[in-house]
Amino acid sequence: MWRQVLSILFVILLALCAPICLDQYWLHVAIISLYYILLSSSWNLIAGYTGLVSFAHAGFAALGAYSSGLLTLYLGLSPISGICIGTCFAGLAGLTLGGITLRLGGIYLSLTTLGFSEILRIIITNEEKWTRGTMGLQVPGLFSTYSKSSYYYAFLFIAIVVLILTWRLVHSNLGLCFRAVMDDELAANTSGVPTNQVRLIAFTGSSAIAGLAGALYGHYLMLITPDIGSLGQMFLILAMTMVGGLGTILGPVVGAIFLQVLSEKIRVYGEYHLLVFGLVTLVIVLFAPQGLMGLLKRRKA
Amino acid sequence: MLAVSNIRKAFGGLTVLKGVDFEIEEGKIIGLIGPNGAGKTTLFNILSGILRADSGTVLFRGSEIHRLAPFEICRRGIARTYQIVRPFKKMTCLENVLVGTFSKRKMSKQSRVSKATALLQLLGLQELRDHAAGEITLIQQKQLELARALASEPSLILLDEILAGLNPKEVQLATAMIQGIRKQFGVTILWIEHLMGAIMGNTDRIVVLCNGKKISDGKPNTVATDKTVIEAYLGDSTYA
Repeated sequence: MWRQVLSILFVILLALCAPICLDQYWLHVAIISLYYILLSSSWNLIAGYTGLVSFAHAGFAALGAYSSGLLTLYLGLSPISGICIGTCFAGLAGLTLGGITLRLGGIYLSLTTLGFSEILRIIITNEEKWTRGTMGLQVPGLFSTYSKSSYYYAFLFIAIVVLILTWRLVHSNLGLCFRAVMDDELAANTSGVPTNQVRLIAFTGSSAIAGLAGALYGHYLMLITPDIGSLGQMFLILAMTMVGGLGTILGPVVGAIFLQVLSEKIRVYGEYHLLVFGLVTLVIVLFAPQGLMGLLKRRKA
Repeated sequence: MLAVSNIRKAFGGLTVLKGVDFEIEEGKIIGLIGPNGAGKTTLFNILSGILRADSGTVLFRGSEIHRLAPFEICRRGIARTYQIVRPFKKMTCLENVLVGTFSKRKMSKQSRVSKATALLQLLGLQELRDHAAGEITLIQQKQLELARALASEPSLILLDEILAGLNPKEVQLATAMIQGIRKQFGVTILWIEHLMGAIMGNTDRIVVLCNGKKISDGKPNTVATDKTVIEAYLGDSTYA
């Protein structure tokens, strides 16, 4: 236990030093990795702990990014309040979508969330008057003076807070209910667990975190495009969680960093980089179905 | 305590329950028997809220429960086990029982854990506390389901063929355990079983279902000699 705590503290310390050691380019990669850590961790909360495979996650990130962006742009709100409202919007959308679709379960849930996310992307693309469509929406930055390290620390702080909250949630009574619902929904229900409510809580919380990640991301890049909510992004989140290890707290962290750094490293191969990317993911999913964290655990055992 | 009246249930064209009525008095062990396909498990699924009856009412301690969700029924005090066991396979035995305690809302984490540990001990599973429930033997899984059911502090437990698949020695162990639980917790038990030896010796009353209808209801001895029951199991004697 103590060794684990120490090693986690060591990693956090390393992460705090990153802006000193990394150049501007790799610092950018680190910030993007943190964005994906937020997204895949929140997706992991529903997919890995309650067994709900939702495809609307990138959609919720886009919802967060655009609500915050539009609010700051047209109503002149500060980016901080924009981010807070964007997070709430994504949470509310999650609550509504979840309320309608969670009863379906299984493949139907996946299909309806997929539909929702595509509809959202198409609306954003077509409402050019407001969102400037594929040209992208220019939004103000989070800080008045641009500095990559401040963005890095902001992302790092939020990622650590979200991870700690997730850890606490998963180890709470509610977390136990999450796992019971995933393991055997009927048995959980007849044991006194209100399964639909439990799923809705997980789905809403997870959507809110995705919205938060998206809103932050928008104010970092200062240009948001409908691509944030594309299915390509969704599958990236999915791949990161699976590669890292579904149903573990650190899995999505490891997966997000691994795949983000990998995709930067193989970017030089141009068109082929997607092929390499796919192959690596395939090999890991085939030979380490529990992901990189699973490999680590197996070696320990 | 529990009053089932005129329960009907059909799956498409197949009518499984054709108006079943019976009552259960507090503190008794009631056996529910009948040939395969009589509708016993369907009745259990209706009592625990998994299925909704087409018509009829279920009164539990004076209030209607036949429109409630399973978790609400559990919170009101009806817990169950399954014919084909359904433990939370990827969770430890302790966690399985902890989930059962959640139907009682206000309770500290510590008292939940100590309660779950005590129940595991009662059912002889204390050494398996941190084992995944999917990795233990069938009888242990059945005991675990019983512990999980007891954790919700039920006043009525529905046992669905808890002895099926156990060897004679385990059957003895399990029946003794059920009697022990009734004494210690004062729970009422409704018990589906095919094993006649066990059900005859361990129940206060037996209800017999056949083709979705109640054909007999009474003390074990009376039921065992009831002509309609013998016919249901062995066929009409005129053709024998």
